[in-house]
Amino acid sequence: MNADLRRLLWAFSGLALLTSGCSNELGPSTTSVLPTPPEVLAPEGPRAEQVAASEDVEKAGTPEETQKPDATDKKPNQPRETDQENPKPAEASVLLKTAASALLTTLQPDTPVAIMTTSIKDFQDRISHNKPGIKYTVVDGWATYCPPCKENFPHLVEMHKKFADKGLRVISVSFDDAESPDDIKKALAFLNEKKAAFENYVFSDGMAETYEFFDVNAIPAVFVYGADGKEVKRFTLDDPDNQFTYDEVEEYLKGLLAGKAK
Amino acid sequence: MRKLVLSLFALAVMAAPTFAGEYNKKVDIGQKAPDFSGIQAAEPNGETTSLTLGDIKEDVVVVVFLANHCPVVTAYEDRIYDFVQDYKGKPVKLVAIAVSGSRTKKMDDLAAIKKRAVKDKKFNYVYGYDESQDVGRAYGATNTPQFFVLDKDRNIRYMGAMDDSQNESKVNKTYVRDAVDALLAGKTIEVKETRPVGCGIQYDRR
Repeated sequence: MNADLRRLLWAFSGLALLTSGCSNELGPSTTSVLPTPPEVLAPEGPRAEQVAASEDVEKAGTPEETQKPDATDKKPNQPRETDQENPKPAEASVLLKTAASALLTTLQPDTPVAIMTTSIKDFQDRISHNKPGIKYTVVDGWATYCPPCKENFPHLVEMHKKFADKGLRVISVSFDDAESPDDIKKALAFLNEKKAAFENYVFSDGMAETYEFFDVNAIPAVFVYGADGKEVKRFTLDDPDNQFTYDEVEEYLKGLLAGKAK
Repeated sequence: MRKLVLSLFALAVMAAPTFAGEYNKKVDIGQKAPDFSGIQAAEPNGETTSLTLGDIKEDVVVVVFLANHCPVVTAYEDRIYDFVQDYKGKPVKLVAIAVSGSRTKKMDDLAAIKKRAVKDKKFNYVYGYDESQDVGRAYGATNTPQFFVLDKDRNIRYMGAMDDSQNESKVNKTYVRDAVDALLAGKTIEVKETRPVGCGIQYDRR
């Protein structure tokens, strides 16, 4: 009874260690929490090792368990697999794995995406407040009525895949009519189809106001903001002699996140 | 002293570099409109003609950039038709130019324009197609439809959207009509520039 209770307590403290490094805002698309690094999730991670090591101590101290051949062979830093041959202690490994798989599910790109209606003012607030680790935010303006926008949208998804773990927050802003349920439905369907597993917004202020806020005549357009929410670069179609390409955006972000001044 | 200050001021104004408009990166209000000549075009009946700014005799010219493929243009076609009808008999001429890039060329080129002219009979103006896109570049055209109102000296006096709503029933301000009316009456134009609204124009890389 004592040994079981102690193992349970260790399992819980292991869980506490696991969740303390994450933001408490888990959820698709409205979080800028970085994916949990694989070594934290995997059974052979350091925390699992910690639990395994403690169990060794427990086993050694319990007369009935010293008889088990596995216990005596085990060294403190053995991978988790060895432990799994021995059904005890089941509680620790099950709890740890359940927690790990729960996190993974919410952060998987296959989860349905969302689009949020927000005011411009609120949006400005949001991009001015970033979690530690976020260096820059990229915002892509698109709309369901803009074929070139839709054709190029995968570039944003690609940038999210490539740069999210390098400190880039990725956001899409739809220049659709927030008051048209049909258009929002279409927008969401598109975002789902493209697997836009990041923040997606549409402004309640209106379409014209959206163009005014970003100060562009045409979309697509891409904007880069610093961690303080101030614009550092824009890529637009507004100069006929200098219309941007997504390759340029990616090159720019690569350099920016690598710390090269531009 | 006052004379000196005034004349220096006048000199500064006259010598001031041309800044681009608020919503236009190439041209500004009050600036001479970029010239164009020999643009292959379609007459209202679909026959071939050519468009040259210098050939136009009317006092006021409205240059509008259009594109067949664009739903916003479609939404404005009746309004543009009505405008031309309403100003018949007045010294105003409207001409349209498509400067579409390779992406929508097939839908927007001269053949397509001619076809629509004959089929839909909606174009009561000469409608040209500039394959090089040079005219669009020169005017800093970013959207279709995008309007430029030129005065007798061919200076740009208004540029931007035709009015304040894509939905005809929701229109409150008729910018192009107001600008043309003001010019015809020798009055000042209240709203000189607005942000153009419509499909983006994609310029092919050279």
